[in-house]
Amino acid sequence: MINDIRKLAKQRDSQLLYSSAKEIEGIRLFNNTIDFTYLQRLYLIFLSFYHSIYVDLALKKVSPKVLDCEINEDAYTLYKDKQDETKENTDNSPHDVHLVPYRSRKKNEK
Amino acid sequence: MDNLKQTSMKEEEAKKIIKETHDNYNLFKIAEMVKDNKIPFSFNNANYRVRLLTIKDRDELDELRKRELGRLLQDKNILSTPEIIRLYRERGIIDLDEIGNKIEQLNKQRTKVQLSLGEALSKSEGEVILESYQDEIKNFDSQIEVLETQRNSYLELSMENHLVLFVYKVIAWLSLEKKEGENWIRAFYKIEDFVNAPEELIEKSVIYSGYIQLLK
Repeated sequence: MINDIRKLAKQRDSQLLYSSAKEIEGIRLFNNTIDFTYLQRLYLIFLSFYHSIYVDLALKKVSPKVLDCEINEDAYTLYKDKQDETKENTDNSPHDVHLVPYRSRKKNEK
Repeated sequence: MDNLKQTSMKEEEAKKIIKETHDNYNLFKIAEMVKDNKIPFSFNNANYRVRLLTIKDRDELDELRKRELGRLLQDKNILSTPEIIRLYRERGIIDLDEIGNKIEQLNKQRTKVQLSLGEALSKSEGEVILESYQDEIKNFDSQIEVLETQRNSYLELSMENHLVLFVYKVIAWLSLEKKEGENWIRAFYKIEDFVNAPEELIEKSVIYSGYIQLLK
């Protein structure tokens, strides 16, 4: 069943509906708008999963062979998530947090 | 000879078309199941559906689950997972914890190869490199599948597994509705009637309710 949901989410038609539903109000993926089933949640996860891969393909960030098989798709997504995690952990940009407003700080420094 | 070759090619094409038609039909059925939060089906000329559990259903499920757990805990013939693992190890039959550790190790090694494959794809490496990583991953998958099947078969009769199967049965019973006129009503008011229903109806209810119900 999970494989079939993946195949469905991977289809261009499904991806087109997914993108359209995000942009255009009135286009819905499901008849219900609350109380989603396990299948529906799984479908949404895979729609997002394949959307991400298609975007990276369009940006030439990955070889077209990524879509040859599920092993490639899973491997690439795992690698990409790991890269994003590493990037987040090594982000050394200064985080300027002051509770005191700038002008008052300058006054105090004098 | 050419005729034979042509006939063989036509047969291959026909098989391909049949498979594609079959796959497309399967996907069509899945698409129908996904589009709503109920799954309708028919059986013996009657209309049924499975739907998500209501809060009242969940309370009923919890009550039945507690009762079943109490019953299982008092039955000394039914062993828990840790007891089964301990007994198999003490009798020198098999060490299921060790199998669990092997599975964990294999999964870690598999993840490392997956990351290498992912990197190779992002760098558009050649087919040979990609295939070697894919083969390694398939090899890990086979080993993990064998070990998991082996472990699960030894733990099949555990108390915990029994409770899970009981919960699936109750969920199927609670989520199954039958159409009477314009209304949908619970198909079976007693679980005893549900378990005595035709096997095909029970099977469909269990499978479809498993598809819709996110077990937390």
